[in-house]
Amino acid sequence: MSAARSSETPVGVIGTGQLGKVLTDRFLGAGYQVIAYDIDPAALARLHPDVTRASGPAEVAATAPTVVTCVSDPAAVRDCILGAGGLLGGAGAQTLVIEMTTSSPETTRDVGAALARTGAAIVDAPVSRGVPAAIEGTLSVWLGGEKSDVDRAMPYLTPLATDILHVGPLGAGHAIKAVNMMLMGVNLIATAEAVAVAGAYRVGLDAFLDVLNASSGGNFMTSNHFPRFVQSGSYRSAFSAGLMRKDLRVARDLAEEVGAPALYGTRALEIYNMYLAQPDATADDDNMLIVPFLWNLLGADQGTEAGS
Amino acid sequence: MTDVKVGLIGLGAMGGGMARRLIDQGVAPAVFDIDTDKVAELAELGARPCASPAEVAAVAGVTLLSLPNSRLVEAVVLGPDGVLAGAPAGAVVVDMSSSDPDSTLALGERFAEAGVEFLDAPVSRGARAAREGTMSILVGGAAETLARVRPVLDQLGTDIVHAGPLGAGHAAKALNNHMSATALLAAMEGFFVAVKAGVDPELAVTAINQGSGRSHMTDVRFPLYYLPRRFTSNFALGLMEKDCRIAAEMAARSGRPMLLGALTSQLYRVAVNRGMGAADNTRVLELMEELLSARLSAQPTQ
Repeated sequence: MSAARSSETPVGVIGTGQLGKVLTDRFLGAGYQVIAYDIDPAALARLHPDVTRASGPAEVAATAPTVVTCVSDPAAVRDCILGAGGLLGGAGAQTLVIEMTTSSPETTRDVGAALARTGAAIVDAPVSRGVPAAIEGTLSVWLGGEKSDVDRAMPYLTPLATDILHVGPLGAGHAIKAVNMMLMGVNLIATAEAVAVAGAYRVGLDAFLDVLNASSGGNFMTSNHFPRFVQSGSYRSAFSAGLMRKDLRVARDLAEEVGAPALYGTRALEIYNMYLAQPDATADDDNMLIVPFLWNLLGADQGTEAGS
Repeated sequence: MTDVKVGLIGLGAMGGGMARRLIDQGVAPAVFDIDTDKVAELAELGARPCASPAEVAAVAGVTLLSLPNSRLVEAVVLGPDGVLAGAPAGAVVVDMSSSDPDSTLALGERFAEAGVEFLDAPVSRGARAAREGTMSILVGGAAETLARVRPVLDQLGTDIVHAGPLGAGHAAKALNNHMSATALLAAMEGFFVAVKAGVDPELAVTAINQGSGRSHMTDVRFPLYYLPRRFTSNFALGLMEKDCRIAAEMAARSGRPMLLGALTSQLYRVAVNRGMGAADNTRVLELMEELLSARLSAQPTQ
């Protein structure tokens, strides 16, 4: 597309939280003009001075033909697109929405139908690997939508991601993202539980992770998250327990919608509900704090388990 | 310890392969199995046939056990003409079965009373690796004892990991298999959701393997066995059920419950209840498809 990287044709970003802010930086770095909006003025204030601040989603869509939405949850997606002053009001036949929120396929199809009435197009493009990967431009993106719309979205995704996969029709990207988060949550909890039992048999965390990662029991939590955020003692993965619960809810809702029982996914959600129901827990707590929470719950000696 | 005689009790798929591997390496083992045909077969290849576990232990400085479960390990060790009756003080016994670590710890006390050293050293990678000497071996027990038997284990495995004190090898093995089963069943559940949401199963597996939800199961086993529906892992479902049951019992005995992982041993028990114990472990896909009313194949487009 000739529009790509043209300084006259800005890209819009709606939702400039942790991830959205990084997206504006990556777009600036790739030579795009950026216009952005967030319902929180403080989030807008934190952006690079070269980013144009919009008064609302409609203004973003009226200015930029390509708009990335990166908001908190499916309800926020509906609000920023269909609500008063929403993106829909500024959208037209030239508009392409790249929907990156970890949202539900149902929401994506609903807003897609409304956008289609103005001639606007949408792809769902949820990302994985977290904020550190966004900063480096090494995200993984799962795309849902029409092939021609996916092709139009590509110039805006390559500055962000190294792995971009078109997985199916509109909503398919969000379905994969939900399943991914469900498996991540299950594997994280299952690993913490197994580490606790291993400790009771005097298999230390280091040895146990070595065994798992060389064998059939390994997963991304044992190879990446436990070494980086548990063995190091940092418990700072730049992803929150509140977001994980939100994603597990999206996965549960999707499973119910399509009629697929989710024995593991729903139990993982309830374990996050247990964590977040604690009086001193907050949604901003790092996701990895579920690990010491479980160790405490299961009667494991945290010092021994963490190998510290 | 080149002059130390090696004994091997249990000549099944794994033990038989290990015996042949040792013979190839010029270490003719003393062997026993309850199946005398298997003993005779190996005697023809150069092994020394023995009439009882006690006889093996009496002639061998290092006795390896490769048996189906802890009940048989206990019978072979403690029974009349068992290993304990024959093993001289200073001998080493290595249980290479996938045993229950609590049984291993109890046997460890009996061996210690007799002055016999005992290690647990469960293996993985299957029968071919046993025959070729390329097994992965997880060892629990004293480091000095491991150092003594290491020359023997080096003939059998390429990756030998010291997991911790006695029982640690069996504990780590059961928990590894339990975690692999949890990752497997959860991935099946997740892929069923994706497929019902209209995503092609092969694309779903490729996509998850780019994400944080990936595991050895999604990365290696789904492309190898589950997507093409090739039920040929040569590992019986009943053996995986046993490993998951051991992990669940370990959780119960140590007072460290598995809120999520408990599902796995329960689902495997359902599979065994349905008569799938002798089937290939990969057929657990068929159980999950039935229980969750789904199928790991592309949905017809509406």
